[in-house]
Amino acid sequence: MLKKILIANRGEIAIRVASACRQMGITAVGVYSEPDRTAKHIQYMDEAYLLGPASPLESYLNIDKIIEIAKNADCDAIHPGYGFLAENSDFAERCEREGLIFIGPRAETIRLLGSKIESRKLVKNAGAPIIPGMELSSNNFEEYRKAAEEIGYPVLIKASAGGGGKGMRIVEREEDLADALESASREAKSAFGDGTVYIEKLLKKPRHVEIQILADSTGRTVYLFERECSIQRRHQKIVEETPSTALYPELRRKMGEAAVKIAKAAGYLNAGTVEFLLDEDKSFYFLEVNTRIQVEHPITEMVTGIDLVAHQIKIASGEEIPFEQKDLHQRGSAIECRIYAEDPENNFFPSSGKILLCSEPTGPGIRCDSGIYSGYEVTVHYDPILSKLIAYGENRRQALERMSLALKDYVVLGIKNNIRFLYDVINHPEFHEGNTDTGFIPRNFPEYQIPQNDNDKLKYALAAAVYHSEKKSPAVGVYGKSEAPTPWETLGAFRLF
Amino acid sequence: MELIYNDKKLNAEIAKGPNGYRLIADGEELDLDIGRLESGAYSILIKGKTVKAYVGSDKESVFVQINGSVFEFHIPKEDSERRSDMDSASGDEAYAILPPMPSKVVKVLVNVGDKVSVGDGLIILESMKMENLVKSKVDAVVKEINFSDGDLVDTGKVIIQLEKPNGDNKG
Repeated sequence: MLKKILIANRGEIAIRVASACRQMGITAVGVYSEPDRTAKHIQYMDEAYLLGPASPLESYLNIDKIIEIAKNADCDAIHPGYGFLAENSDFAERCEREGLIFIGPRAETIRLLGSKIESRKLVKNAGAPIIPGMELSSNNFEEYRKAAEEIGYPVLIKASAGGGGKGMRIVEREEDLADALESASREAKSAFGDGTVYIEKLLKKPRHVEIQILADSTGRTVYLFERECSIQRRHQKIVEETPSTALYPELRRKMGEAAVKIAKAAGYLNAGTVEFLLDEDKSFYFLEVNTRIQVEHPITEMVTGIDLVAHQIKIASGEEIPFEQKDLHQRGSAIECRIYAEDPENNFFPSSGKILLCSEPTGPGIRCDSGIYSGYEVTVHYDPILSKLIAYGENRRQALERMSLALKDYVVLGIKNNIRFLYDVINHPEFHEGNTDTGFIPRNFPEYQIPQNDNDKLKYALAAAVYHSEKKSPAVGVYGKSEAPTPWETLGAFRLF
Repeated sequence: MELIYNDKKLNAEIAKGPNGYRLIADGEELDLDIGRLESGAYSILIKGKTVKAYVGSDKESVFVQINGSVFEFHIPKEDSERRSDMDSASGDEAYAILPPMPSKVVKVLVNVGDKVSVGDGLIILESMKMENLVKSKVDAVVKEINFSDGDLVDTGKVIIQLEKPNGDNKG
């Protein structure tokens, strides 16, 4: 078993990984950028080392520095979390070369699956379904034109190196194809440094359904069922749930087996996610493989009872997966809401500033993986995810009721956030019916406004505001500080050492 | 104090009232009770109905969250400047000595009119069976002593009031 792991990340995921390490008796080593000295993740580490200035390139993406710290601190492995270096094959390769275990797939697997065009080829050869489309990119417009004609309009242009919606264009008619190809390629080039684009069939109302897999070094590969992640804004997931309301046992098994087939074809090791689009007619198509632990992994943990991060560590230690496919079951229902520092009234623009007060919900079936606290300063340097709220219930209805209450009880004051928006999303009738597809947010919340406050509550709010402001000074501790002094402060001179 | 809510100025004060407190807002009066909970949280009781209110504030705004709804009050400019003065380090709070929790006065160590320096002992309090020596955080003159040896003091009560040596203490 690994003894000491450097966690090359920040925020809630660094805390999640640290807690798995510490539970297993493994020393958790944290890293931080200058403004993150007081970030929450550092409080959960056994050791912590400074990476450098705020800029990700000088801190959480600084491969040389991370490797140097890991070696100096005598770490035997590095967990990359998600984002930052998690899907960087050069980093995985560098770890291997330096004698450090990268907790994730092998470098060549990351490289292979990182290319959309290469992975489409692999999936097709493995006999799993891909969206009808081009297998090769081309410099010849005529080939794109022919491909689009064969597939049938509307078509979707996508970037080979793509992600996050960059380099994507929907084309309805042939006469728009040339311009769309050109601008998509330009956008892909500036976003990913690679202007390669290809064409595939556009699904009208697809759902985003992904399959969690685990694979060990002996080749044993299992699937841990699906996560439905159709609720997205700007191509970013914000609400995820499992089981999906669109799957039935036979389809679930088919998708799970397809995911395992793809993983085996890629020589996959450790935890990963095979993403599919599910069409209205229940055909499913391969989208991509995420070669990392995902943001939404907790909902799978809730319904399977399997600690995915602990198994990542065990697999990286060389252990075999101790269960087989037939041992795995889904029990109950789980939903996750991503709490972001962003303004839902202003195109989800990221916000920053000081969290004046934070109070997180608890209760039956509630899990809150959080990277914030009262007084924490949200900076502009990193992803605006603040925390993840997860609700588990014996069925979907109870999970939703619990989530609804937990969102009401979630207090984050001082910065713009999406908590109220998430509440309105999960309480939308279409969501209740399980009628979710990737067009849900643009269709139902085109110009979102936070609902007006109930005037009945205003008197309570006003009383609280005035009392808080005026009574703040007198009714506190001896020195008028917000905390009462401890005996240590009042005892006077004292020798500790 | 003045607060702005939805672009409308509100004049609101909290005073002691028959049920605990009285909110006087734009001439209207409302009896209620307010209980202080954990930091930033209050229990507010009006005619049997109770809510938990969370409050976070800075110099410009007071945010209140009740049952999922966030109320944002703005502090008019002059008020926010005055507040920031009061919030500044070694403000008036340092001159009012209050117990951190309900305590018994073991011994008052100073007399009215005494000059005290930073670090001088003022009073010994006992709470939770532990004695605490409360020391002055400021150079000051003892203005008032409101309790004697053996008295029980509740939180929020000023035991000793200090004033600045030249007598310019506002409090």
